[in-house]
Amino acid sequence: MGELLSKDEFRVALKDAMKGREAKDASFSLAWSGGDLKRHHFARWAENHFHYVGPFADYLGYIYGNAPDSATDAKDFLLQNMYEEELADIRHTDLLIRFAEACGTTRERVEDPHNMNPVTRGLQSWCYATSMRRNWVVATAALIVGLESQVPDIYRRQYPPLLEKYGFTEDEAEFFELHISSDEVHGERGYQIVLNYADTPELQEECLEAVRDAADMRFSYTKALFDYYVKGDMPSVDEQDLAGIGSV
Amino acid sequence: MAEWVKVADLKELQRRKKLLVEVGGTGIALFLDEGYVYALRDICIHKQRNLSKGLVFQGKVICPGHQWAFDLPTGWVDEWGECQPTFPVKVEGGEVYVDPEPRVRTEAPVSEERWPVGRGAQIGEA
Repeated sequence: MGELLSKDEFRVALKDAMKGREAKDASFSLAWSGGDLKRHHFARWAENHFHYVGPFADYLGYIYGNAPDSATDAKDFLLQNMYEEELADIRHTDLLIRFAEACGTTRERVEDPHNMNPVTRGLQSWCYATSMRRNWVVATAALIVGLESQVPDIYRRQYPPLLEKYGFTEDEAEFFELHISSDEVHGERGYQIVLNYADTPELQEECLEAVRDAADMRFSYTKALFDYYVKGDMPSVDEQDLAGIGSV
Repeated sequence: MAEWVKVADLKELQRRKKLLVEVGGTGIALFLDEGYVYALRDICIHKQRNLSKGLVFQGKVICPGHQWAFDLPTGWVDEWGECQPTFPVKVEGGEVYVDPEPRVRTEAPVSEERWPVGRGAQIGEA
């Protein structure tokens, strides 16, 4: 076990832990930003994405309960993320459903858990298990740093083509514009919790491992969307062509 | 020449950390953060939500609508390169004053103007 990293070193290590496994580079993301998807592909994405992000306040609620009373600032950050996600204005999942309806699916189909694929079911289960069973700082590293903090980079690439290539209106695509800003803030709150409370080399190492696992989970989830819903429609497309950089 | 208007008792702002006040029909959101008072137009430039219902995080007020993060001293939001109007503010004799002439930047402020170097009005000893 190494020495305790400084906060600056630890922040760099957390970011490095996601490198090479970021969901923005998965095949579904690349097809999206390349303009290769159809509206029914987005409908399937929404039907899956709802079951990953829909319970996010549940996940954070478990972490909140596991955090000690003495970590008041961290508990406040978790609560603030939950509040902005659910209550501060339009519930974020309602914006996701608005987008889904513009893609031709329905609220009922989106909310029906039978419409997610097994990899999404695995991601959701991993999120529940991590938030309920792991140390609260490690769980924060996994869910907020490893998963949520990736979102601004993903949607900065994916929001413009929604308007310019796929013809969605700003109103229909509000979910994505929103998350460029909101997950920057939510991710940073997660970083602050992890940087302040992972205060032993062992805990820092556990957080780094959790971030790597989280990034792998999100990458696999995103790749599976391509494999389940797009690949059959685009038999001639090689995933390596999408990546343009070798393996995805 | 600034035309200062009394808008709030400092004690009330110290209790709540944020207050919505009105000057000449304009809603102004006051924030008390780390001993300094800031004043920004309440209605968000993006989608017209109320900043007075937002949370403060790392020297920024987070709009409750879309989480645009406005630098408290300057009103600047880096992600989108836009600026929420701010108002000069001073604290005297336990009262908070605002100059109702808004300031709007068209270019990104330099780091000396931003939180934590740039600050609002210090409240002094309570």
